[in-house]
This record gives sequence, structure tokens and C-alpha cells, in this order.
Amino acid sequence: MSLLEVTDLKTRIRLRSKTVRAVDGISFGVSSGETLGLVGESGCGKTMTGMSIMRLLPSGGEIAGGRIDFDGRDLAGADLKTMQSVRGDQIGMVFQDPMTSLNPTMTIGKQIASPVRLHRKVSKQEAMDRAGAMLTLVGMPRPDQRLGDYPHQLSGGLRQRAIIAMALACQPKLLIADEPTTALDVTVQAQILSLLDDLKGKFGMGMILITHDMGVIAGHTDRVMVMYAGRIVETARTEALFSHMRHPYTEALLASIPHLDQDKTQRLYSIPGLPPDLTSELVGCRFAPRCAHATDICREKEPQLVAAGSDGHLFACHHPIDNSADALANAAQATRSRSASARGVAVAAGRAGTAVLGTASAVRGRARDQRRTGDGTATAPGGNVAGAGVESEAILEFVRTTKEFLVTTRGFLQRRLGVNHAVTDVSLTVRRGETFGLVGESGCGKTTLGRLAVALETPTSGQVLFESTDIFALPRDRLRTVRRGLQIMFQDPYSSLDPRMQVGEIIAEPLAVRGDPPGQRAALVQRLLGEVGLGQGAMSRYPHEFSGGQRQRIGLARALALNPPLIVADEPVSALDVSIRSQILNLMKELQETHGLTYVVISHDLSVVRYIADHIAVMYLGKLVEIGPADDVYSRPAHPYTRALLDAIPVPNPQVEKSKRSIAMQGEMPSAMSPPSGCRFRTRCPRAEERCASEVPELVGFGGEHRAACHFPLEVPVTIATGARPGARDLGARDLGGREWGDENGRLETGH
Amino acid sequence: MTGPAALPLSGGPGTGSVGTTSTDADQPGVGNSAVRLILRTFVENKLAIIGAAVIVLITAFCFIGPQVYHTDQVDPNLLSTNLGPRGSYLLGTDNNGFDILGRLMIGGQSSIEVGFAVAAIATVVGILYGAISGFFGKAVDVVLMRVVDVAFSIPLVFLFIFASRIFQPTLGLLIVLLGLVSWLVPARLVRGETLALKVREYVQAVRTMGGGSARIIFRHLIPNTMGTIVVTATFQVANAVLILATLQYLGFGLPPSEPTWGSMIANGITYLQDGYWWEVYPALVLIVLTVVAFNFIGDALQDSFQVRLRQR
Repeated sequence: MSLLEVTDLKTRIRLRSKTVRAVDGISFGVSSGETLGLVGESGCGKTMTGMSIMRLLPSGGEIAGGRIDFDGRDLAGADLKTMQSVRGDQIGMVFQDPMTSLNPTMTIGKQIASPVRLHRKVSKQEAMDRAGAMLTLVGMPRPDQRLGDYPHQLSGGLRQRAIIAMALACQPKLLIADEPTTALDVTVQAQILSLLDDLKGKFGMGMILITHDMGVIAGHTDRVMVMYAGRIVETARTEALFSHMRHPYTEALLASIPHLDQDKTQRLYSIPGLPPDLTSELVGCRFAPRCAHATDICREKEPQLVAAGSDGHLFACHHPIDNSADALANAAQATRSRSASARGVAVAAGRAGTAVLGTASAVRGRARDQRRTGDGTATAPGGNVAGAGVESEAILEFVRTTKEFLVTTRGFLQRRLGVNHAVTDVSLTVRRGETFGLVGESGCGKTTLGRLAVALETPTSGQVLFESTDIFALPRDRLRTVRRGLQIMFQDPYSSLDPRMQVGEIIAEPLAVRGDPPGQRAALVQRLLGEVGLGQGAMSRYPHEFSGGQRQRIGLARALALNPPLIVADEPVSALDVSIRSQILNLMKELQETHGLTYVVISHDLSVVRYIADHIAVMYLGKLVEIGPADDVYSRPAHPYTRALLDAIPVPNPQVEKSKRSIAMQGEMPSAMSPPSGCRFRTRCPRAEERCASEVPELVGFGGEHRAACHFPLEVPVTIATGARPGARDLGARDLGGREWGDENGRLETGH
Repeated sequence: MTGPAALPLSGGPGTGSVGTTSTDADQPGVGNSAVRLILRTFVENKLAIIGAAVIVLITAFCFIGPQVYHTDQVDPNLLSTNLGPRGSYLLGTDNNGFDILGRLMIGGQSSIEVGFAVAAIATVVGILYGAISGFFGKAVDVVLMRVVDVAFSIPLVFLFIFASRIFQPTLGLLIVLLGLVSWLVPARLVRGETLALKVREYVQAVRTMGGGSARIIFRHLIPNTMGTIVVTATFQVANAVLILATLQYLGFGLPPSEPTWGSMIANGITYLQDGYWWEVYPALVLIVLTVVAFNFIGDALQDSFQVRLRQR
């Protein structure tokens, strides 16, 4: 018998006037030493399943039926006292957000020691010793000193380690990890996940890993349970699920993630619609309204879990996928084309032949291609600035831009504490009509750079040129007019729209600011709503009536209202579910073609940027470390940091993912208050030598426009080729004031 | 256009309202659905309904009462002083022979007028002051908030004694003086909210559109502090009624020709030992009822606004 055996668990949450059937009759088991992955969109009941086992349901929540047999006890009916003795002792839990899971007024040591003190009869000192030992175990540097630290003194990754130490302090038999790495950077995510794997082996405990990331599932679970609308739709051993998936939802989840080797000319597959409302009575298959294969029987009769072969592979579908292909890519490809044609969406066919493009000229060729199609379909009135113009004209340029934030104490007499070097000496060019990706870990300065581009921040030194005008040299009222051409799309769909305004007013606001008469605004707002795929009914409704994805559409419509040539999209899809992400990415691509837009896309998600961007720039601690055509940078990264970032991305393929056992990069980014001397990456770089500490690396060419700043690059630099390349871009169309920084075809130059 | 899976918007107020939204309503009004939700939660709160009913009754008592129950509150009637409750004087008379019940009505008028007027002044001044201080921040914020700190430290009673020595106390003067000391709390609250709101992305979006500070403050910041504002305004009314009563009791404020609940208590307290309870307790009960009722309403409003936020 397994460690945990859940039978027909039903969890309800009573709201003011309705009841949510959060978990609706699920059964599963977890054995010691095994990791069960729980995957699905948000709101599908993953977290509630975990919370039901811990009996930590939100107010109004109750277990309405079923059994939770854990180690010989039924937790579903256990009293509070029993539960208190189980929580933290027998079952540990790790939450998503390391920033809010620790008590800021208690030292790390005390917090880790507290479950030990609660569950074991030990002295304070013994508990503290145990806390120290746990910190060592979770790989905390200088554990004895850390015991006395407060949570704010630790970085996100270290906090998550402390939380894991706390959860495991009593050596629980089961660990429930609810999105343990979602709030962390990819490089740190890889570290934490392998730490959890390690500890699971050491303690021989069972683990439930709740995540929305198929890549994480592929690499770190033994079995997977796919949940949809409170039910299990498919469960299998991890390898079997990825190679022989039967449920269309599983397939759709996988297909909607952009892979690193995604064909960029193809639209991403996206699951249409939204998960059902769990407060209403659901008839038939819950996925049927969004399923491409749904027939009448799906709408009438709910499918039961049936076995597919041996080894506990179960699925609930009337029309399972007959999947004999073992390669995952094929499956995804098949879905994409099948469902695309099913929905009658014209896929940009014929482009597939363009394949992976290595050279800059080829990329540009394709960009031109896109622009031509864009012109053909463009209906935007008001004279779209983009389009037919010069092929490689610069639209946005950073010229040795530096932004430093003074860090001071709060209050009346502010004491200067230091300088945060958010962006240091960055020069780069974004060309009209392209999508420019900015990537890096959080705190690398990519968001600051994006905010400089739309004049939400003022540079400390250097310039930002928009259409060849230094926007920060403009008088205030001129800037107000010019910045209409520079719009931004925000990350958080909840804080980017004023909750007190109707959607119609929100989208019309830029027009009101410009001084359009009210009569003209309505028609334009209607058109914009249509363009982003929302109905006219949206106008008089409030933001809280929309889902996250719909809100991002509203944000995009607002950004488009002034018909700007450039939109900065700051993590446009990070806050969204995978299935919704692809909808927004497709929409962004589509609008780029119809409006001739230039995008600067800021993201920590390299696969998203890879799919959408023509050129990318990688930043580390305020410095530009690598830049070039996206395909080139991804296929042969020259900087060790880029390599590490790419390696850290979880790939939704168990074979690949489980074979990478070495962690790409250790540690976390140092503080931007005191960046390391020389190359800022040297403290985490496996190739670092003495020279890296003393000498700041310059950007050197690696063929075409591909450049990286590293003393010991992974590729061989091509020093002459850049200048000799025929048909070099003519940057000299504009007089750069005799500056020396712009060599003839230099996409960018960084100083020292 | 072939939008990727245009999400159907089920139901909704329909397309008929297109014209009304696009005319750019200059009052960033609280919308239908939001108001409806707030009202629904408010109505579900029984104490709030009781509070609202009490306020309606007291207001009717004070302003409609005198039309029904005629008494002479101008000329003292020395023939019928300190009479207990009886048929001709339902709540008895005071030491000047004024009918207590009638006097409670007249006295309540000034209490309610002062309460609402002070709350209005305090809220408007407080909102503007707090929003400007919070939005502009830096030196502006430091200076404006130190002014508030200083104003908070002025002893209230001293201020009123001082003022009543210089000016002839009138209802208007009392309102102004009470307003002067009451805006401090809303100012601090609104400033705090503004600090949190101004970094929201929708505020930054207005900047990128080229919108100015006035638009940000009046269209975005202030409407979003409405929840706090409405709640504090309610408590402000209760507070003003209480302060007024205290001042009147201490003898500062309106002349004896203009009765208030506070001055009635002060007047009657001398005779409490003689057992003339009707000269003190009815006024006291009315003060307590009014204040408690407003506090119930304020609490309920606070809960309602939180519910709306939770169900976003």
C-alpha cells in the first residue's frame, strides 16, 4: 500500500451565494520515494488538492466526500489535533512565493527550528542545531551565520531554500511542493528542483510536485496527473505520458508551449476559450467546449477514467488520441496543423521552408517578407508610419545609456546608502518592423531599459533616440507629444487597468489625452476591441469582469489606440496560463503585421522570446553581454551566461530533461549595488580567470551582427568578418554627430 | 479579422450602451456592477441597515418633528420649570421651562448639520491635500505632511477656547473650526493610498500617453481611493457630532439661544442630583444612537468595499 492514498476526494468551497466544486472526485496514490506531478491550468484544482491533503482549505472550504489515507490514518475526517500533529511533522509543504512564506520578524534559524520544537521534545539549542544542519543540507552558503539572519537579508532562491529546510526539518514522509519555483528565475529554478530531487532521495519521502510547467514535470516527476476542472483527465508514468498521451487536453497543454526549436513562422497552437465555471453543474466531458475532437457524446456523457495499456496509464476521453508516434515533436506538430485547419485559421504556410536562419541578412530578408504581407493587409487609417520605408531604419537607439538609482534611507533627512547600477553603458539599436527581445534574470536591468525606452525613467547618462530624436533632450510638452509613439504593455493584467474605469473609457483614454473629440473616440475604440478579439459588449464593462488573458488584450488595445510605431511589452505573458499565453503571442504577431509595429519584448522566458523575437539582447547585472539575431544567439551562444540560461530552461521531454543532471549555473546574481569588478558575470562563470576580474570585456563580433562581451567566449570571435560583410547595413543615413561609437555596420558598441 | 479564438463575452449589458460609454464621462463614476455589488453586501449587513434606519429616523425627528410637535423654544416659561414627563410635556421641561422633546428636535438639527458639513469639508480638503502630497512626493510630501503633524499636535479644546474668545460663535464658525481640525485624518489616509496607487501600472500608462498630473490625480488616483474616502467620511460625521457635543457640554460654542444636545446635557447635569433625569438622558441617548449608527454604517461600508476588491 502506498504512503498516501486519496479516494474519490471532493472539495467544495462555499462562496457568498454559490459553491465551487474545486476538486470533484479524484483518486490517486503516492508511494515513498516517488514524485507525483500535478499539472493543469490555474483554477483546475491542483492547489486545492494539495490544500485538501493538508486540510488547509480557505474559509468556506470543506471536504465533501472521499478518503485521504495517509500512513494508516484517514486525514479527511481527522480532528484538528491530529492534523496539527501531522502538518509539518509527517507532511511538509513548500509554497510558491518565497517572499511571503517566511515571517519577516523572525530569524531564519528560529523559523526552521519551530517545527522541530513543536513536534519533537527537544531543547531550544538542539532545535537550533537541527536548523543549522538543515540549512547545510539545503545548500545554504555559510549556514551558521544565516541562522541569525532575517528573511529580507536573503535572496529569493536562498529564501526558498530556507523554506524547504523548514518543511523538511522533521523529516516528513510526504512533501507537497506547490509551484515551488514559479516565482524564481530559470537558473535558480534548476538549482531548487535538483535540490528537491536530492533531498527526496536522501529522506526517501514521497513528493507531490504541483506545477503548470510541462518542462518541470518532464524532468522531475515519476508519475504525472493531468487535472482539468477539478477532475483527473489523464494519469501515467512520466515517460509514458509524454510518448503516448491519449487525452486531447494533455496534448493541447504541451502544444501551446513555444519550444526552443519552434518554427517561428507558424502560429502557436492555443486552446480556445477558458476553463469552465466550477460553480455550475457540468454535463458531459468538461473539456468538450474547448476540444477540437468533441462530438455529441462528449457534450452529453462524462467519460470515465479507463486504462490504456498496463502500468497505470488512465485517461478519460471518448475520442482518445491514437498516438503511436513516440517523438513528442511530431505529436505537437500534428495537433497544431490539425486544430489550425479545424478552426479554419490560415496558417502562414509556405514560410515553413525558410527554416532556421543563421545569417543576419536572411533574417532581414524574412523581416522584409513579413512587412510586405503587412502592407498588403494593413487597413489602419491615420497613416501608419511603419511599412514601406527604409528597410533597416533604426527606430529606437540606446547610446551608451546608463541608469543609476540612488538608494537612500526613507524619511525626512535621507542618508545615501549607495547606488544601484540598474543599466550600465548599454548601446543597441532596434529597427523598424522587427521584434527585439530583451532577456535576462530578474534584476538584470531589462525592465529599466524598457522603461527608459518609453521615457518612464530618465537616464543618468547617455541618450535614448526615438526616430533619431533624443527624447530626453526635448522640452516637456514636446516629449508629451513624442511619447505617444512609444507605448507600453505591462506584465500584470490586474494592475495595468484602472479598476474604476469601464473598458471603453480605458481604451479611449489615450485618445482623450490627445484631445480627440468624444464623438470620434467611440468608433476607434470599437475597432480596437475587434482587433484584439473582444466583443463590443466589453466597452461598458469593468476590468474585474475579465480574465487575465482578456485583460492583456485590453492593455494591448489601449497601447494601440495612439497608433504607435513602437510598443514595449514588459513580460506580456508571464502572468498568464500557458494556454492563454499562446493566444496573446499569436495576437501580438498578427497585430505586428497589420499595424507594422516594432516590438521590444522583455521577458525572462527564453522560449517566448525565441518564438517572437528577430533579434535578442541578453543582459546581466545591468550590462549587455550578448546580442544578435535570435536564431544565431540561440543556436550558438558565445557568452557562458547565455549558454547557462538556455541550458536551464526545462524542456518538456523526459529523456532530454532527465539526462541533464549537471546544473548549468550555481548561485544567484549579486547585488546591483556593488557589482563585481571587470566582467560582472565572473562570480558565477565556470570559465572565469584572473583577467575577468580586472578587465571589462568589450563586445566582439561572432559573425554578422552577433556580438558578445566575454574574454573566454564559447565560440571563436570573428573579428574582420563584420566589417567585410557585403551589403552591410547603412547606419550612416543619419549623422551621429561624429561619434566614434557607431562603426559602419555596428549594431551596437559598448564602452568600458 | 481572424482573431485567435475571439473569446465570447457572455451576457453583459449588451451593445446598447456604446454611446454612453464613449462620451467620456468626465466623472469617473463608480460603475453599475461595482455599485451593485457594494450595495448588495451592504444590504446583507443587518447592523448597517439598523444604522441607516436610525439615521433616517433621527433626521426625520429633528427636521420634520418640529412641524408636527409644536413647542415654544424662544421664550422661557418660568411657570413650568423642571416638570417631569406628562401629557402636555411628553419629556418634561428644563429649568427654563422649555419643552425637552421639542428642544431635542431643534438641538439635533445643529448636530446633524454640523456633522454632515464638517465631514464634507474634511473629506474634500483631506482628499486634495493627501492626493497632492502623495502624488508629488519628495519635498512637497515632506512639507505638507509636517504641516499635518504640527496641526495634529494643537490641543483641540485650547483652539476652541481661543477662537471663542476672539469670535462670536456661530454655527458657521463652528463648522469651519471643526473642519479645520478634521481634515487631517482623511489627508493622511488618502496620502497613504496615493503612495500605493501611483506606482500602479495604469498610472504609468497615463504617463506614456502623455497625460498630465491633473488627469492622473483626478481621473485615476482619487476615484480609486473612493472606498477609503466614503468610509472615513462616515466616521467623520460621527466624530463631528461627538466633538460638537463635547464642546457644547464644556460651554464653548453656540449661545444658549441655540440649543444643542451637548448644551442640553450640560444644562441638565446640574439638576441630575435632584432626580430630573429627563433633562440629561434623552439627549445623551440621541448622541450615542447617532454616533453608533454612523459607526455601524462605516464598518459595513468598509466590509462592502473589501468584498468588491476580493471578487475582482
